[in-house]
Amino acid sequence: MHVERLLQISIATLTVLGPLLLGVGERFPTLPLWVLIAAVASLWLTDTVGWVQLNRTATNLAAIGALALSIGELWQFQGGVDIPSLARLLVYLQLILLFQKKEFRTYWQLAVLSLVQVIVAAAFNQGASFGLLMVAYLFVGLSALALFFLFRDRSAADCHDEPPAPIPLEGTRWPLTGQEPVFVGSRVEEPSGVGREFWGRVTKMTAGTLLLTVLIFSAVPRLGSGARYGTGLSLQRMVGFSDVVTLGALGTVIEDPQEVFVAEFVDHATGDPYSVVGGVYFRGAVLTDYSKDSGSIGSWTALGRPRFHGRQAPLAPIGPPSTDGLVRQQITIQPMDREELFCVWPFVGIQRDDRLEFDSWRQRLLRHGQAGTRFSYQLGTSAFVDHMQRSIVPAGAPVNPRRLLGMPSSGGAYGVPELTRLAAEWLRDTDLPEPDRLGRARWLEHMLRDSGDFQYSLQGQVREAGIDPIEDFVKNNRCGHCEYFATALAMMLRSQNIPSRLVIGFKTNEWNDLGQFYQVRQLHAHTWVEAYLEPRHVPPAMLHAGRPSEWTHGAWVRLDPTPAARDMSLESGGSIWDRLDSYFSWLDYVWTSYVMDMDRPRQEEAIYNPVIGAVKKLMDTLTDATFWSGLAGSLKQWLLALGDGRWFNWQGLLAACAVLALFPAAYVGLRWLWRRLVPGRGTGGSSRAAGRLAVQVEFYGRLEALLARFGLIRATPETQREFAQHARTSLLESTGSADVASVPCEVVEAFYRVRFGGRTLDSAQAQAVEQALAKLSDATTQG
Amino acid sequence: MIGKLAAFPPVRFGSRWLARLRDPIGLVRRRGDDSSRQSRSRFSVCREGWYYLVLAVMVFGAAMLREVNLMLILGGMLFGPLLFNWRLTAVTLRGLEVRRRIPRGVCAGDLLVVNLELTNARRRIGSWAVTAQERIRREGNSGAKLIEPTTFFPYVPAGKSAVEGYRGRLPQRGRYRWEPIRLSTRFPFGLFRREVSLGSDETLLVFPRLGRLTQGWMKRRHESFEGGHRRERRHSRVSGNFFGVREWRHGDSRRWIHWRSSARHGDLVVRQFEQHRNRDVAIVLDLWQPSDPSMRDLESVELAVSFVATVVADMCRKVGCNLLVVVPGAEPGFVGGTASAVLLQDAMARLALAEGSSDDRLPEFLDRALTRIAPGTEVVVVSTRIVDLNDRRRFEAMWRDPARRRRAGHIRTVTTADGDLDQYFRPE
Repeated sequence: MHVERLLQISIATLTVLGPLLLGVGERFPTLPLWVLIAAVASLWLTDTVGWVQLNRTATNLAAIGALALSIGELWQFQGGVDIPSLARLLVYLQLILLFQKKEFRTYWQLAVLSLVQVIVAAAFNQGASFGLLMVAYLFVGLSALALFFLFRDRSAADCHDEPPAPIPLEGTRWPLTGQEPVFVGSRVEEPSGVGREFWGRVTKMTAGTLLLTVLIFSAVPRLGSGARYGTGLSLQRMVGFSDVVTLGALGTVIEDPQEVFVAEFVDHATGDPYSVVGGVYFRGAVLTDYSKDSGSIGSWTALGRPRFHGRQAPLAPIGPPSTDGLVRQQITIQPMDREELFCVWPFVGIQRDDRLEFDSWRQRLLRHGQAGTRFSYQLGTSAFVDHMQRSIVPAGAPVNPRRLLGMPSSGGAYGVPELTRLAAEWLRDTDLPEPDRLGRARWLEHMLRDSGDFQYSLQGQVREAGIDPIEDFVKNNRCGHCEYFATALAMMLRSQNIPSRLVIGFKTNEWNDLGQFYQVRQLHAHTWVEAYLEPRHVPPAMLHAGRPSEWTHGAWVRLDPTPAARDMSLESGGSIWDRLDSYFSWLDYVWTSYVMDMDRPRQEEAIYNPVIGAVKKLMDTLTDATFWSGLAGSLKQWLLALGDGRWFNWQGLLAACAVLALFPAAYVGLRWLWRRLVPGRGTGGSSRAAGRLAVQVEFYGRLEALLARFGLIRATPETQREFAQHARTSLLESTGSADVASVPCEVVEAFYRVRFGGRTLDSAQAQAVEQALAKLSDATTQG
Repeated sequence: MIGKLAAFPPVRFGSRWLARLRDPIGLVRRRGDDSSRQSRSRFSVCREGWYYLVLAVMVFGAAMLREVNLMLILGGMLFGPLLFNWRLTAVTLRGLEVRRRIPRGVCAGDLLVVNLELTNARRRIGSWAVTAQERIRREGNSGAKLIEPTTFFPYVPAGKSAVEGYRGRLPQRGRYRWEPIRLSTRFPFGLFRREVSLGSDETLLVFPRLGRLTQGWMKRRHESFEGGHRRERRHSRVSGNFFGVREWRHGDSRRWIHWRSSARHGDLVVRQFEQHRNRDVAIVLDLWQPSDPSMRDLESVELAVSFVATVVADMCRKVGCNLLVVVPGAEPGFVGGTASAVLLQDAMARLALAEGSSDDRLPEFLDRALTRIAPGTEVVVVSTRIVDLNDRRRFEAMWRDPARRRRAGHIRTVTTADGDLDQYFRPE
């Protein structure tokens, strides 16, 4: 394929990639599609067959039209910079230029427009897919730039015409009067293509540029306190989580795979990653009060007085005694429209973090005014035992059980008679005594989840008007989502005098093996139940297992009655798509953590400090005498071990030879490196070597120096004798003296006797050589 | 001329006078001055490179100031091509050898084809987009415009050679000097340019443009030959080159007897001569021009030189006579001998460098020419102005010597100042 065609394809691809980068994240979803169609069409219609080729006037008119259109769009937009309008203007101009007859200027303009689009796209908040596309863009961009350069220079040098013959001017007698010298280049043969070497070189440059980019990105110090995410960072709406649960409303629960946060677990004592078996529950909010309005809508709300408006006390780090078995949870949450933060409960602060607040009345962890940014925080938790999240955790504060026993009051004694009857009936079927609250609670959970009488469904269900929706769930339509199951269990527990509350948050078991983190998406939003056990109801085994003081205020038992809860997560399967999804999730996490969020603290933490630490460690090691003595001792022991203590063995000899061979290898390697790094140092090595041998015979060296004054220097393929013959001819022509001309041959003959014949010159021969050289030296002076 | 870079030391030619001796005729001269030996590279930023640099710095600066990480990545990516362009321009030119092939001679205005052979001596890396730029100057004219033909080598694979060239016409005769070839490349992105000079100087003599002799000239030559032949026979003189000896025959002139050989053989022996078919000719060129010459004066000079060159070329094609050409210059050139290709080249070389002058040196040239030619040689004076040989004051030396005075009557003049030349010569 010819260079021009390759250039056209590259520019067309570049033209498509620009809008594609703009369109990543579905900001401008249709732009790339239109440009793709236009690029393919222009390749065929304009570049190949030439049916559609806009002239300059048509192009200018179309550009003016596009500008007017964009101005109109900007006019409608009020306030700020309307980036989409600007992006569309760039695309309109590209579309016009694609159908113009391609000149050098057109290629430049298309490439520049594409680059401007990428610059605009870089101002947005982008995911890992942007990074992947940038790699492709870089390769295509470098190819296009190199092809454009080749095409332009070749076209400029190509000439098919002969230089014009002189045309006599009128009124002149001499036909060459007034003629100027004229030269043209020869016709440059059209190459069949650029070949593998070209593409290999572009690939290497792409890889090198990527490496350079990584180095620059990592090394350039961040001056500010936080990275900017660009104009495209929009708040995500938390669709699965709310601090209010409403039952009875029609509608289907949408499973949104959008990421909410990722969580890493680290052993606080060792700093090693902490693996967790099974799913993990991240608590967001706690709801305690359930009520039903006049219709058929029941809702859960939080208990207590309104939230204290103002700055809560920041989380203080805990003392060393509490760090036993502590697991550090490192969570990075995407920009959300809510201020609640999520974590595994119970949690403790491990470092002072003024950005975090704890709403003790409503049992929520909040961030202080940073809802619009991506947010990372670290907390400790003691919820994990043997790499599993405990279902019973100590209540960290006094609990008023009576507040957790409230039932719907309207429409009957408790408003949910059938629910109460069913709970009582289930418990009657068991032998569990009334004090065994834990057992009774688990039984109810089991019956709701595993009896098969209740179905999990995300579809909205029609509820009977007039009665509580949870009563309808138990009595008439035993189908619903997790909030129904949780509410039913909470009400059943309360009906049996077991304090309980609703917890909303996220439950995930989407473990990313590459990144060693849990990924939490919108569809992982979940509701479950916590039952309160007074200290007297806490199982004795638990009291003896941990510190008894932990259970002073009782315990919370996590109960999850939702049947489909175990399957609703996006578990990592074994299919290739699952693995790809896992890879991409990891890539996205890395991209977010180390690219988008790279600010000054993270740069110090992730790059500067490790590098400085590694260098320091290396220097300390290299300057540590004990290291070298230990190394020598280890080597000696290893060598002795090879021969079972004997002073000589073949293995030891081979090892010693290998070590000795390292020195010349290091020398050769360093010399090679020196030659590579210092241009001009690595050339002519063979000739210099030959020269060194020659100069060993001192008088020959003087001969070469003298001949050099005549401009005669021996070429590499020339032998000394050939050089002497050549010099003789030249000297004869230049000086006209046969005596002087014969000097090189005389000296070289003597040189051959010494250098290759292994003989030495006697005094007469040496004197003759000296006289010959003096003769040549005199001729040099005269010349 | 060969020039190499780095991979092997270049073949270095000697000093100016030594190089001249390599080509005694002076058609192609090589000169190895200090600059030809060096291959120091020159680096420059192209216009596109400046634009690109400004863009990269702006993106990078904006990224730094606003702390937008994606912009920083983009800025880093923009610096990649700068780095690789800087590096690859040096790599591309390393290990290159270039050989220039110039024809032995060319006449003014004729097509000149110069081929350049670029050899990539490296083992693995090919060279892309190498431009060889020549710098050609006409010597002896400080105000002459520099000629800079370029040749483009799209790709030279590792270990291989490529031949490209350029064609052109040099309308003025004289010596042209080819400076060392400037190899340059902007590969791969055209942002930076690196240039090295390879090889040594070369010179090429551009001969006078040849025209066409008319029937008038042929007729005049024939008449001159016939007249001279008759005179020779009348005076029993022979001309021509000595061929050998033979026995005396009846009718042979006594002047032909070779007495020494006759004594040795004991019988009369006469010399044999190769008979000339043409008469010997001496051409004296007078390139007078005013100190401030007009275009017409310059044209007269060129016409005179071209006419003489055409006559010499014509005579050298028809061997069999002796020819003497007197060419004015700083040192007047006397080119003489039997008409041959060698003589032609020598005469053309002299004519290529002939220059007009406001000094009247014709009497001196004529006088010196007359001392060198044999009796009976036709003398033609080609001048840019009308010559009156009877001007005894101007040609005092000639008129003072009776022998030379006798020849003055046989000297013919051709002037280019008026239409006299048109009957003998048509420039083409």
